[in-house]
Amino acid sequence: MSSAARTRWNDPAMQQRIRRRYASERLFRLAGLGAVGLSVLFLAFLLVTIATKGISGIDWALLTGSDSTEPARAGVWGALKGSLLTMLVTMGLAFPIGVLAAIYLEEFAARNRWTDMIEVSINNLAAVPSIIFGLLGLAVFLNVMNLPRSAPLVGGMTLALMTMPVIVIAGRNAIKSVPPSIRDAALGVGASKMQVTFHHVLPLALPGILTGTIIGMARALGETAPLLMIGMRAFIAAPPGGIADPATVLPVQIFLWSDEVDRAFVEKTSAAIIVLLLFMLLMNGLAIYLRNRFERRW
Amino acid sequence: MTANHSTVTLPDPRSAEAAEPPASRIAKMATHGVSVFYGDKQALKDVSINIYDDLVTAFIGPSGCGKSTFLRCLNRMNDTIAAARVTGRIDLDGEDINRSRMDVVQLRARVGMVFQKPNPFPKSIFENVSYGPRIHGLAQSKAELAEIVEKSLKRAGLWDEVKDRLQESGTALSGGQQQRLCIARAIAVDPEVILMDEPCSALDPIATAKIEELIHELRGRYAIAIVTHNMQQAARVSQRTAFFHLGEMVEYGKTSEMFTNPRQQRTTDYITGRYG
Amino acid sequence: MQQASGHTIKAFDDDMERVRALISQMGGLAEHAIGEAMRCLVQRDSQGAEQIIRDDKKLDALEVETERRVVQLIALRAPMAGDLRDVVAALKISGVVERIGDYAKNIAKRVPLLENAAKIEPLSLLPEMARIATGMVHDVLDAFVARDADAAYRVCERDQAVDDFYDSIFRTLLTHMMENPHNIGQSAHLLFIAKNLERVGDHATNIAEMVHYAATGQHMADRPGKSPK
Repeated sequence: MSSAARTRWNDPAMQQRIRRRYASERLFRLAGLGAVGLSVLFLAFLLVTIATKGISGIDWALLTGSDSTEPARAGVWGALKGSLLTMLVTMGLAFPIGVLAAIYLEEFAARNRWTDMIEVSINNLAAVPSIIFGLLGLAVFLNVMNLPRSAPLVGGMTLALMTMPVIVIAGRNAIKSVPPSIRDAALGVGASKMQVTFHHVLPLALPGILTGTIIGMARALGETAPLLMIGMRAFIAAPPGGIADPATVLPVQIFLWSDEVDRAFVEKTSAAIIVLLLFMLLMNGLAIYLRNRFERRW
Repeated sequence: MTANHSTVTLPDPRSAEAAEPPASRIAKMATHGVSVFYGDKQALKDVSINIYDDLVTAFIGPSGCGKSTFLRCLNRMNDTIAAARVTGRIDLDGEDINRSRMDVVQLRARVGMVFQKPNPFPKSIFENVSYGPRIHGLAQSKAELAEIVEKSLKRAGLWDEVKDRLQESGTALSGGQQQRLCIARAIAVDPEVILMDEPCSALDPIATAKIEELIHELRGRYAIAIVTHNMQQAARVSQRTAFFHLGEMVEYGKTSEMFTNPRQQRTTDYITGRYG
Repeated sequence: MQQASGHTIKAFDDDMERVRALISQMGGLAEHAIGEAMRCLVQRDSQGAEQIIRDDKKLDALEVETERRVVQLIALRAPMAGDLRDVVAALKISGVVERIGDYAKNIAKRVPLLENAAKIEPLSLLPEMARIATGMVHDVLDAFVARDADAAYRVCERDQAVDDFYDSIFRTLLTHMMENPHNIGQSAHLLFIAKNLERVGDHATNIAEMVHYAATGQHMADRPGKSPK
């Protein structure tokens, strides 16, 4: 070991360097804080505006009444029920298909050009503007299959098409992140591929899958354009009885009310937005609770 | 009575002999000319080794020499790697495990495996051990299943430490305990051969010693093959050793001879620390 | 079998070298002691003999040092195969060489007692016998350092010459003692000296066997030149 040239940490040049490092770190922290603050500011502004405009409008009548031409009697119950039914259809279709597709593509399918193409296509589908799905729904579900117009069934199917790629992508990533050691361990004990997948991989991937589902459903809940295309825009006075009855959804209801000339509807609109946000929070909360319940540490 | 040298009995020479089976014994697993290719690259060239009951066979060699690849051939774990291709013949009790109609799931129950890094399932200790017997239908009742779990944990030397907390997570145990849990899990399906891939490399010396002692106890019931990069461990634990180098099996023989007087120069270089 | 190259851990090489160097050093001291003892015997040099006796302590110290180093090497380096055999052989050889040194001391002790001895034939044969015996020791220790099993084997062949010397000296001294009881004292000492030198030769062949085993891992099949008397 040569005795020459050990690093001189106490040199002024060195100290200057170190100080500059800390300075740039502080700068970055400030910038980051600023960025977060800005976004939060906008969100806060939105929430405060809506809250002040709409909080007075929230009453039992709003929540239980159906749409009406008279602002005093108009309520969101019909739209709420429509949203719920639509979400149920969406969930019921997108979740199983999405999860099974993710499992098949990750665990069972061979790796070749065809599966690569499928992966690319699914990634692209997730980015397609929602209105295209509306057009698809219009063309296929309504015109070709002659399903009832404006029904949660059709709305749900359209939104399912839109949500499924998100679930597949999240599902694949969640499955990919399950450590191979767990798979090896199960195989080593003599489990078949199906047993490995459903007894071990899926339970561990479930939190990730549920996260993807939450994201997908939240997006679907707030979608307006595709549902407008398949006709869930009509004025509907009575709440829907089942998924085949004509209905509307909350975002569309808000859109329709915001178009109204009558000034009384302004307050209603804001109130409805609050209801929508609360509904979304509730749904997200439930999904996060479910995800945490299934979360396992390994 | 004070002991003098006439009352000291010499160890029975036959007891050492009992540890060595006669040369004519039939092998539990026999491989003939096994080669493994990853795409175009040949990872293993023409390996022919026998694994005997009641013996521990160690595979030693430098990194990347193919010993783990060879071990994984014995329970067809290389099947899970798409690019891997195995040629040659591997027999279990005389039956070719690749060509015959032997079910790979059944093979893996008969030839169990313990991995380098302990990998218990993220479930309870009880569920970890009972998983294998459950999926193979080895227990007729819940009581029987509990019996199997207890027996396996006892054989793995873990029962006393966990008998009061079988419902706790398997991953909450220490490293050495986790590895013994994995051994119990492998034992629970009543295998005939146990393959161990560097089972102690992630463990501290005391945990390692416990596992080595466990291997010694298990030797009577199962044929054991162990891959290790620790030569002293191979010397302590095995009765037969095979030295691998660059995908070839260079030398195979009795452990006592391999470490005192090997036949091949490459083997000598490796075990005396003159390699690399 | 030759060791191909050095250990990956260089300190291991150093440790082995030191042990071999100790053995060489001990061998040198023992050979010198025997040679000096013969010179003192022939030249009736009692001072020189006392020096030899004092110098034997150095050999004892080296043996202790060798044992210490070997035990340390085994504990710390976990030597295998050829290295292990070398190290165990070194331990055994150091004990044997120390004993050879003791024989030289034994001879030196008799030098003052033979100051006034007559010049008889055995007195002139003994240096030649010693020369062969020390030559054997020298060559066998060289064989140890070089890990040369063949050289070790050849050393054994020379033991016959040492034994023949001993037989001849024995008969001569016996005759001498029978001729004149006055000679018995002196002859007895010379006999013991001859016996010590014959033992040195035997020890050299013992070392040769150890060297052979260390180098090849096999015991010498049969020792050459061991014909029954």
